Amino acid sequence: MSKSSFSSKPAITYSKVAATYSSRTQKPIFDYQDWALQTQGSVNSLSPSPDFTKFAIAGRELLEILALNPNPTRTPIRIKNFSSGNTHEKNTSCNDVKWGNTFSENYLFTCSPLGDLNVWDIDSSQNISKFTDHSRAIHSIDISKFHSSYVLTASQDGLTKLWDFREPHSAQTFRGNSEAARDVAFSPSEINEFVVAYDNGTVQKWDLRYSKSPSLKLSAHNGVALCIDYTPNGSLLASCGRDKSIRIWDISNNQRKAFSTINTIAPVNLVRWEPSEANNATCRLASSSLVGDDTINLWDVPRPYIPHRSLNHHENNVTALQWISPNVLLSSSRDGVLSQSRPNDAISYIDLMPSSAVSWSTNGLIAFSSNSKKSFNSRPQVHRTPSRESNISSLKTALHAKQEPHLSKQNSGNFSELSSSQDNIQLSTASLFHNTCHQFVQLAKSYQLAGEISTACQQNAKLACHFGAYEAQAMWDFLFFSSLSPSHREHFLSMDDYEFSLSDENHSISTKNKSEKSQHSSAESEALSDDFFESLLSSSSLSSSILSVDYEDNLDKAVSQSLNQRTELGTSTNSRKDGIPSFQGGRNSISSLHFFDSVASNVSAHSQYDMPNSLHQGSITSASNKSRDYGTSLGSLSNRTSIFHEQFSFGAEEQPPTDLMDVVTSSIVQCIDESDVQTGASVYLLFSAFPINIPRPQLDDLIDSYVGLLRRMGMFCEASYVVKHSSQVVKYKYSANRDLSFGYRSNSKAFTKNVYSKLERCCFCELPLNGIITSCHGCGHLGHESCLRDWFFNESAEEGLLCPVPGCGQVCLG
Amino acid sequence: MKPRRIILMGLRRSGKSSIQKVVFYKMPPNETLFLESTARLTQEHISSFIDFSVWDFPGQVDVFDAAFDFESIFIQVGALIFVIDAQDDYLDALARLHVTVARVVAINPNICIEVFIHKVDGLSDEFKIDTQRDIQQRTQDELADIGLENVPISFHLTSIFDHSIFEAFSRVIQKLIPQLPTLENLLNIFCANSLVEKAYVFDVLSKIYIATDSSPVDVQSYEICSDFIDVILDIGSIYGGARENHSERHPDALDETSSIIRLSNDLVLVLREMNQYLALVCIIRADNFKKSGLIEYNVQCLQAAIQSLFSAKS
Repeated sequence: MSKSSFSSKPAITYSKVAATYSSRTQKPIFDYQDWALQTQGSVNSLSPSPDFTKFAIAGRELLEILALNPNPTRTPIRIKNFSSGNTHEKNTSCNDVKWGNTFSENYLFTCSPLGDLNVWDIDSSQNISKFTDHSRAIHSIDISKFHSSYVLTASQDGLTKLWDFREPHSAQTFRGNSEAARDVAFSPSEINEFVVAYDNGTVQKWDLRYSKSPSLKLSAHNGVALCIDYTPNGSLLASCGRDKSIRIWDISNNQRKAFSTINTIAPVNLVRWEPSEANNATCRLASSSLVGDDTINLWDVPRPYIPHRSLNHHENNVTALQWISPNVLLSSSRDGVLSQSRPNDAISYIDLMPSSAVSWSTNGLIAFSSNSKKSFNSRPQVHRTPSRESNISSLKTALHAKQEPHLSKQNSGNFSELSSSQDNIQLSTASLFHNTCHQFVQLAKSYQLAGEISTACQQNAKLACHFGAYEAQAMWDFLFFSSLSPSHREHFLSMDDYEFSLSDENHSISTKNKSEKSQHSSAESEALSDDFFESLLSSSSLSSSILSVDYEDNLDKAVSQSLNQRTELGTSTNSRKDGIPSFQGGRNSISSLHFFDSVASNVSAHSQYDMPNSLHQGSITSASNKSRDYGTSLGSLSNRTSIFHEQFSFGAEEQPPTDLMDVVTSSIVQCIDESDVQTGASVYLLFSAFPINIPRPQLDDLIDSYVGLLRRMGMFCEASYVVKHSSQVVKYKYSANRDLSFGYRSNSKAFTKNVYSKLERCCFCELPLNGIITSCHGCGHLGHESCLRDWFFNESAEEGLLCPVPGCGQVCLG
Repeated sequence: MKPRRIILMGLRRSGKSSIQKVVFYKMPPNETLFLESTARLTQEHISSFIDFSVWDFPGQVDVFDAAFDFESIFIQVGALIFVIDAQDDYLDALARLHVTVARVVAINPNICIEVFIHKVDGLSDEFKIDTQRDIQQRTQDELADIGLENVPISFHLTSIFDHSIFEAFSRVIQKLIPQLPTLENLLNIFCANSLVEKAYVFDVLSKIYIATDSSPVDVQSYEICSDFIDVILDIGSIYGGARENHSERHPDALDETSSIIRLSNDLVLVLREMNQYLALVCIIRADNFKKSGLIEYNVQCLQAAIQSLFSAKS
C-alpha cells in the first residue's frame, strides 16, 4: 500500500488544528439534558463498560475513557486518554469501539479506517494486539456476550471475520457477497447467531459454526443498510438504511417480510433499542440520521408515523447513540459534542397532534375517534407543550356544538355520546342522517319521472310526503297545481266567496290559540296534504259539501297552517341545513328566496293573517317530527277539499297563476341553490320536454351529480334510467366508456349493508355478490364480473347482446 | 487482473441502450424514449482513465447461438450486467438470466454478475423492495437448484431518471479496479486529516465515481457532486481555453483545474482535477475550511499519490 508516504505529513500538520479544540463543558440548553461536553474532535463511537459506570469514546485521534458521575446531572470525568503520548500514530483513528465483557472486561476493542483491529489494555493503556487481516476499513465490531473473547468485525472489503483476540489470526471468515459490510451484531439470546448489514441493502443472519452461507438473507433496504440492533431479549431486530426507513424484523422466526416499517425524513445511520426492566416489554427505538437532520428520534414501534420523542439538542449529525439505562441516552455529534439526556422529558410531537378525528360516510354516518390517553410523562411536562387534555376538551365542545342542531332536527338519529373515559382510544359511529339516506334511496327508487305531468307530480308529492321529504312535497304540490289545465283553475276561481270568511276565521283563531295547539294542527295539515290533492279531480262534484263543512277549531288552524307551511317550506329547508332555528319573519325569508311567483302573491295574502312569527317557528320545527303520529287520524274528504280550495283561491284571486315553465325553472333554481340534487334532478327529468330557462351545463351538472349520488348508493338501475332520460351530453358522457367498470366492493359491511341489501345477489348466478362486481351501463344490473363476462362473451351473437336479467330486454352491448 | 470489459445483456426493450446512452453519452433521459431498438451487437470503447468497453447485446440476439463464439467473448469479460425491466413481467427475463448465469460462470468463474432491476422510477418504495426481494429469491432458488449457490450476484435498483444508474455503474466499475482498496484508504486518510465530510474521485466524462472514502454514500452528496461536475464542465466549455493539446501533454503533468463553491448551508464543495480523466470532489463544512491552505496541501499530496498509484500499475 502506498499510503505511508502521503498520509503522515498532513496528519502532523492537521493535528494542530484539531488541538485547538479543548475539552470543556457546555451548559445544557435543554432541560431534558443532563450534561453536555465538548470533546477534542469528533466522536465516532462510544461504548459503556459492562457495569455502566464508565464509557469509552473513540474518534479521530481520540480514545478516552470517561467515568460517569454518580450524580447524573454532573459531567463525567476523563480517567484515561489512550491517545496522549502517541498522538501521531495512525491507528488512533477509530471507526468503532467496544468494551469487552466478563473475561475481557479489561480490554477495549477499536477498529480503524485502515482495516486494523486493535485491542487495548485498559489498566496499562497499552495496545496489546493489532490485527491487520482486513484489507479495507473496518466499520463495526461486536463482542459476544457468551464467549467474551470472540470479536466480530465488519469490513468494507465485504467480509465479516470472527476473531479470538488471544489468537493471532481470524478464526472464521464470512463472505456475504453483498459488497461492504456496514454493521455487525451478536444476538443477545442465541450463542452462535449474529447479523450483518451490507452496503447493497441486505441484512444476513449467520451461524458462527457455518461460514459458507447465511442462514437467513433479508432484502432489507433499498441502498445501503447502515445499522442493525437487536432488542435486549433478542426477539426483534431493527435495521436502518439510506432509504430513510427503519425496519423491524421478527428475526427469531426467520420472517422474510418486515414486521414493521418506520419511514423517516432522512437517511438513518443509527438505531438503538432502549433497554427495559421487564424483559419482554416491547421497547422504544432511538434513531438518528446520516445527513440533513440533527435530531434524535424515539419511536414507539406500534406507532410508526410520528416519533414518540424528539431530541434536538445536537447541532450537527449524530454519530453515536448509546443507552445507559432506560430513559438515559448518551449521544455524540460530529462537531464533538457529547451529551446525556433523558428522552422522557423531551418534546413529544404526539402530544401536539390532534388526537381526534371525524369523518363522514356517504350513507350519512359519522365516524369519530378520540384518544384520551394520558401523557407518558412522569415528570412535569415541558412548559411549551400544550396539554392534550385541553385539546380534547376543546374538540369535544366543538363536536357537540356542531351536532346539536342536527340532533334537534332529527330525533330519530341515534347519536352515541362521546365517551368521557380517559384511558382508551375509541372509535364511534353515529348515524345522524340515517333517515335522510333512507329517504333518498326510497325516493330514488319510487319517483315517477315520466308520463303525464300532473299525475306524476301528484304521485311524487305523495311519495315525498310518505317518506318525510316535506320540502320536496311542497315543490311537487306547486308543480302539480301549476301544471293543471286552465279550466281546472277557472273552476277554483269560481269559489272565491268562501275564501274571505275563511281567512277571517283563521285570523281570529290563530291569534287566540296557544302555540302548542297550533303545532298539533299544523302537523295534521302536513299529514293531510299527503292526500288532499287526490280529491282535486272530484272537488267540483264535492263543492256542495264544502259549504256544509263544520269548521272545527283545529281544522281551521290546519288550514291556515297548511298555507304557512307551504310558503315557508323553502325557508325551513334552509334552516335545517344551517341548523339555525330562526326565521326572520315569513315575509322576508320567502321573498329573499325567490320562491314561486304565486308564492309571492300568497305572502301578501298571508300577511292578512298577521300570524306571530314565533308560531311559524314552532309549527315548522315540530311538524316534521310529529306528522307521522297525527297523520292518519284526521281528514275527511270534505275537509281536504276545503283546504285545497282555500289554498288556491288565494293565488287565483290576486294574481293569475304564472306560466308553468317559470314555476319549473324557479323550482329547479331553488333546488340547485339548496343543493337538493334529488328533487331538482327529478323535476328536471319530468319536465325535460319543456324549455327550461337555465343554462344547459348547469342542468347537466345537476343530472350528473344525481347520477353520481345514485351510483355511490349502489342504485345502478336508477342511475341508468336517469341517464337514459337525460340530455345528449350526459348520455354521451356515460355511454362513452363502453367497457364495463370493475370495482372492488369493500368488506366494511357496517357501512354498506343497508345500501346493498337489495343488491346482494348477482343478476346472473343469483349468488351473493363479492369479489369483483360490475354493472352494465345499459341497464345497471349488478353481477359478478366473471358471470357477466361469461354471458356477454360466450353467448351467441344475438343473445349475448341482451341483458341476462329475464324480462329486462336491454341491449347492453350495442 | 480482471479484464475491464463490461457486457450489457437483457431482454429486448429492457433499457440497455438507454443506460449506455445516458451514462456515457450524456443523453437526456427523456430522449431515450426515441431510441430505436438495437439490431445487432454494438461495441463501444469508453476512453476514460481506465479503458473499459461496453458491449450492448441486443435482446433479441441469442448469445448462446452457435454462430457466436461466446467462450472467447466471455473469457475476457470483467462484468456482466443483466438488465431486467421491473415494470414488465420479469419471469421471462429471470429464466433468461438463470440460463445466462449458468453458462457464463462455467466459462469464466471470476466474472462479476450484476443485475440491474431497471425502470424502477415508476414504482413505489415498498414495491421496489418487494420486487427486488422477489427477484433475488427466485434467482437464489433457481441457482441453488442447478448447484450454483455461491455465485456472487449483485442486485441494483436503477433508473435512468435519477442518479441510481450512475451509482450502480460506479459500483460495478469499482469492482474492476484492482487499486480500489488503496485508493479508498488514501481517501480515508485524506478525509480524516482534512476534516472532509465526503470525498469522491470521479471519472469526469461519465460522472461515475471511481472511488470514495469508506463512509456511506448518501444520495444527496453524490448528486450534488455530480451536478457540480456538470456545472464546471459547462462553464469550462464556455469560458475555458482550448483543450486540444490535453491528450498530448505529458501524462505526469499535474492539471491545474480546480473550483471551490461555498453553499448557503455552510458547506463548501471543492473540485480538483487529479489527472486527465479524474477529478476529486469533496464536501467540507465551512467551519473546517478555515485553513484552506492545509487542505490544498493535502489535496496535492493525494493527487501525487493517485498519480503514482496508477502510473506504477500501468
